[in-house]
Amino acid sequence: MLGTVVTRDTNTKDRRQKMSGPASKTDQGAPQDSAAPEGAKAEGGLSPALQTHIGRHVRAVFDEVAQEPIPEHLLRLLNDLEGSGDK
Amino acid sequence: MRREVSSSLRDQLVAEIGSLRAFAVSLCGDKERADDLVQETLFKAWNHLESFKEGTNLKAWLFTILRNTYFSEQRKQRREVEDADGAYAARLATHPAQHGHMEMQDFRAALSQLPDDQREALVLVGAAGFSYEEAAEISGCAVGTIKSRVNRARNRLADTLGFEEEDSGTGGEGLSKTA
Repeated sequence: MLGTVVTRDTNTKDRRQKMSGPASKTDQGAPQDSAAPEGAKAEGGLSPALQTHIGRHVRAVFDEVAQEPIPEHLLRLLNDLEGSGDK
Repeated sequence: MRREVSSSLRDQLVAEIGSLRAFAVSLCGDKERADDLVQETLFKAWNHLESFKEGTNLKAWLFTILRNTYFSEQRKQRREVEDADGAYAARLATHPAQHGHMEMQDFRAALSQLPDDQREALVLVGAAGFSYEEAAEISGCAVGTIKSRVNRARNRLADTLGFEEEDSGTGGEGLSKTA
């Protein structure tokens, strides 16, 4: 099990190096889908359940900050900007 | 004249501050710097409101300003300090979450270790609620690039956290192997 994790990790690095070629090509306006399906296959696309699991975590990390009260100084900034506009 | 901003637009700006802060923290890993980024974003947005068409996607516009501000500062800094990526991990390590489960802390750490572009894509699509098309516009790249970054981000997180297809509920075991 531990060995599996290490092996998979190494593979990921190899794949990432290979991926950098096609990925940067799409940056320059090549057909958009050329990188994505191939990438998904090369990465061994995750099951929907695992994608959902990861998605829940990403949202939890994000929402934790997003739902904090807005710092006073940011609200003050908007008020100041609004005030300074009345010329 | 151009400063005559409808109060509803101001309210809309206020309504996006929470998401902007969360996005900024995900980019830089540091709450103080994140608030500076949000402040700069609001300032720029306010001073360029004439270039924003009311009724279009305000949230995407703000996110674009914020990430461009962050990455241009990042490029400047990288010229001065070589190890900006290492600094991110270090800052994160010195600011452990006071609350949250062990699993969430592991996840946060794994997320912070993703390459910037992959983390950005995953957060935009997976948490901030943007479509692949909107995320592509925000990041200034092709839709296919965003899709591929999100895929790579998910796979890398699964690898790092040792998420297996059968037991996706456990994690953390692979964490020490990647650093």
